[in-house]
Amino acid sequence: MGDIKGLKPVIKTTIIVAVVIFVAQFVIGQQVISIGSVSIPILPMLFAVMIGMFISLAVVRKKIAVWGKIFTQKEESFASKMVGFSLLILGTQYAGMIIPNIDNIMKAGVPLLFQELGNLLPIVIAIPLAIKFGLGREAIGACSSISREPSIAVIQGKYGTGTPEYIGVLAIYLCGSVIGTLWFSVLGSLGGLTGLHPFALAAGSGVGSGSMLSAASGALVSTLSPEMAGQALSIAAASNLLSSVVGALSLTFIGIPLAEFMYKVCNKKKELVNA
Amino acid sequence: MLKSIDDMKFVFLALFLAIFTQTVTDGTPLFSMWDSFIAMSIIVFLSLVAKHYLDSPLPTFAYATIIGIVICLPDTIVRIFVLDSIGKVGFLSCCVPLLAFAGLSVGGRMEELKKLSWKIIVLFLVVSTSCFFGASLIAQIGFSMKGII
Repeated sequence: MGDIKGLKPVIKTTIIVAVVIFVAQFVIGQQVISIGSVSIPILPMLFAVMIGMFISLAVVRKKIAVWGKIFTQKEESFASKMVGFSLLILGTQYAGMIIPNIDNIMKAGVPLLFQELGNLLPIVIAIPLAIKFGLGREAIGACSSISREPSIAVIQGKYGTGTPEYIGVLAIYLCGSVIGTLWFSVLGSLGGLTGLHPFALAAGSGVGSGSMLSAASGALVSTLSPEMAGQALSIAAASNLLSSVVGALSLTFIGIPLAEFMYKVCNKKKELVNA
Repeated sequence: MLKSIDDMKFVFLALFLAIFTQTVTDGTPLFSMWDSFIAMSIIVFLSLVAKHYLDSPLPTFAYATIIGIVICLPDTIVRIFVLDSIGKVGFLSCCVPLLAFAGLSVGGRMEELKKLSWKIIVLFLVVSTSCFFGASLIAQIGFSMKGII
């Protein structure tokens, strides 16, 4: 009996996802927004995430009672479990991209290592902003990194659970989990407008979680030739691998000290202005 | 090990949806991708087992990438089979179900986000955007120094 009960949300969620895929991929398909001479492709996967978010909103589930009965907490938690398994499939795809480009990746290895330094940019930009917003030491947790799992572990280890720093990192983590995928697919689509090379943007796509990686790199390569796309995806995957390995180290030894320093400097300035 | 075997049914489901997306995208017949199904299943299974025995801060999907690379590095018939079969299913076809699941799993949590101040959301946008472009900028400089771009 228990098994049948467990199977129901699986079947329901699978059908729902299949319908969402069909609508996003087949009914809507790829669209292009043109602003002047610039055209921004909007991929089916972006529609998939938006449709998914919309139909799982609490308001929608309450307003349309029938739907609310079909899509319950159980289906939602199964969907969240399936994100992890879908990521595994994507992991094999990245392997398929890296192999033909392995020489390129080796050559890109050293610059990719230094790319971690680029992840320190939010400390310089976001900490002053956070202090303007009136945040206290939460700013250190919130703005010293992109706040994925490794960052939580580091901040928790250094400051402890329940501290303002810990609350800061958790708040950004939550935002990232909810709107991160959507935001990274926007970044991936718009990145090209900056004039940065697609390979460089691919490296940038790897800074966050697995779903952020897939959203940003997928959007990024949609306009490239197949050969360029393969190379860009392999760089993105390598960058993400390195971020998970080196990220915690660089946050511990460079990120947090720098964040503490920025925090002190900005607060002093604030005091001076207020005085 | 048992848990890894148990998890495989969800992997099969995820794989099926990726293959389904490929069919919806360009009409590739569902059953012509049987080899993709097998190759990816094996790599994912190995990565689940590896994560179980060799735990590290790396996420499991990174294990799948690394194991896929290790299997394909030597120039054997395995490499040709794996590369060919993985290539049949497009990268974007694997992204669409992933993002559909991701969307479905977070809409309900928008309420939590509402409780946070709008300032936190602005901070998240600033933090993630500056991380993305910060890393891209350094890579741009590094890659041009190395002559990659």
